[in-house]
Amino acid sequence: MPQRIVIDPVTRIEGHAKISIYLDEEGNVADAEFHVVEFRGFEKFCEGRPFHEMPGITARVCGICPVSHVLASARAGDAIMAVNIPPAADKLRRLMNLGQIVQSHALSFFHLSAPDFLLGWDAPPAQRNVFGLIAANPDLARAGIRLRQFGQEIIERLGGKKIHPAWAVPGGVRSPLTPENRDAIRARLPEAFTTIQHALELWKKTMSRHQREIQIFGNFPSLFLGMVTPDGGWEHHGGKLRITDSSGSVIADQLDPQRYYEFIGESVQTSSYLKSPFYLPLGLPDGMYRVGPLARLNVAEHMGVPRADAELKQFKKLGRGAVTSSFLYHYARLIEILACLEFIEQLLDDRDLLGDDLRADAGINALRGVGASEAPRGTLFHDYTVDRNGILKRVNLIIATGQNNLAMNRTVAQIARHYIRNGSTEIPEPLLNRVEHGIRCFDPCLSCSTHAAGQMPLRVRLIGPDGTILREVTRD
Amino acid sequence: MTRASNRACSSPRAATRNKSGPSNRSDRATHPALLVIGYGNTLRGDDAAGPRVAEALEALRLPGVQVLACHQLTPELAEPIAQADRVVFVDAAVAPPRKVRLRRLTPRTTAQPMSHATDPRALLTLARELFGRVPRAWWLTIPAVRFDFGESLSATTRRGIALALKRIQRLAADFLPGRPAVGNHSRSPGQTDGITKRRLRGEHPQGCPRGGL
Repeated sequence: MPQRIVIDPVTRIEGHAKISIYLDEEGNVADAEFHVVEFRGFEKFCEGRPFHEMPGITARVCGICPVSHVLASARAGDAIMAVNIPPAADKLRRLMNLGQIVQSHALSFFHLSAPDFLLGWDAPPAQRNVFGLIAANPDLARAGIRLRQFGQEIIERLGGKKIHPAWAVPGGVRSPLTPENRDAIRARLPEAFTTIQHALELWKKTMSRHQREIQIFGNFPSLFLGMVTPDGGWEHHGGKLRITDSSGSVIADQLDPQRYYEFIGESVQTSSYLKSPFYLPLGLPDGMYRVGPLARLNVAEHMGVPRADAELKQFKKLGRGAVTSSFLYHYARLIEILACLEFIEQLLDDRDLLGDDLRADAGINALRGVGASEAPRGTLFHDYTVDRNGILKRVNLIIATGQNNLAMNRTVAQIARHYIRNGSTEIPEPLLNRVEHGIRCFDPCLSCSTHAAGQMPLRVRLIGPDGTILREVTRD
Repeated sequence: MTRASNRACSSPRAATRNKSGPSNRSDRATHPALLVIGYGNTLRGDDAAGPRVAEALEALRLPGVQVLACHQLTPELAEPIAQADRVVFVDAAVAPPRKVRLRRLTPRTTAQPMSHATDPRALLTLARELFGRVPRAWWLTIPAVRFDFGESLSATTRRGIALALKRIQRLAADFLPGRPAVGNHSRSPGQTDGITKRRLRGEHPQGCPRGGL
């Protein structure tokens, strides 16, 4: 007999995505803040550990992007050992990162975001989710799951089926790719290409219906930061950094991620455990920058693979200079998935990929090492300082979601200004839906950036000029 | 009174089953009689309860049982869930009561607007909607009290893990035809099987992480 049970919505570690919207004297929106209230202490936790353990430890920061941490951590270890890793190891790391971007973007697009713009912004939240998407378009939902599985499968075939693949290590990687695993990955590529092609077609069909969202979902000038190849192409691992402004002008190029502290400052807000990095030469607020798919496509002159290159040309037509609407993160994600699939296809034909010279070995040759890699949500930095025995004395992690923190605040404020005017103290349902999605455009990984785990209910507060809470709404 | 047994791993019959060749192993992996999914963050103290149970269970190599350890529940788990006859989700719980609880789960659509993770009921629904099948399912929760950074567990959660392992072993025994119920092996209160004892002492079979049970 069916038994009715009540499951406490917060059975695990709780974190809240809390949003405060501040009104001015006239009752218009003055500002907004996206708070993250979970304690952040991972950097301290790592002190005293041997640096070579860090890929395995930092992989456990996050359940969605462990690979990004493994790769950035391994690169920081490479720098401490001052080694150039073997070509096979570099290419295998790249392959794993491509799989990671595919799986993470697939989750973001198909399961978290597509229900909003395919089912309608004002559909009830109970329907505006993946189950509603299944009801409306089961083939798309199933294909989205399989695309994510494909990315995961690449990771598993390289790193094994452990929860967190500490497979990349300082100096290289632990194990090679077998011909069988290479062939198995290759066999799934056609289906993945078909899925992303359909998703791109669907996106283009529906984009015209969302012109208002394109205008108000975080559409503002900012800087953009991302990795590029030496000739300015799209890069995801091992590249240098480029910063462009909203006119599309390059304001800094071929910056060495090892010296990030010379051009990135880190501010701290009392209201959030997220750090808010900024471009140091411009200070705040002008130094606010965005990272992730939108930024990477803005800083890149080309993708380096033909099909994604054609998409990039279309994408760039959506902006004057840079593409500034955060809503178009979704489109950028799809283009990046396509690029990843093309790069995976290329890599699988590379003879170096099956090589068995996988690790460079060395002692401690530098007391500070920085590793950077493009995580799905943006550039990720791991900065380690060690003693002569390789024991960590200081750890600094700059996470993609943190780098988008200021832009997320501004996105929320922009959306709120559209819906709250002239002294209204209501938090209308359309506002709630759109604020939720405005943040989702950035696909923030709050477990990652705050090192918490668990569910993330949304709580929105409307605060008057005297600090009084005028209204509060929670959506679990 | 708690009952347990180490029979699942050590019985000659179980060993024979395990040796019965790749096809058996493959069937077990793709259509398990029981799928156990332990999830949680192994760096956040007691939140590791689910993965720790999964790792301990994997070491037991129970026939017909497939084990997955995850940081969090994600949509692609819907496929292995749809292929299993039964599934048990193992998680840490902060909500009272402070005891190990095993409850039936049924599919339900839940929307978590800001999270990358999903919940067991939603996964069951995904399995049904996308893969046409939903197994009988349970939610096994282990009391958790400490979520600081670190790999050590509170005494409450360590005890809970030991109990949870026994509950799963009993479930597995009940579900596999021809296997005597594990609970037939009576023990005095508080007595644990050898494996659990070793784990409680901090001795781990190969493959378990440092600072395990």
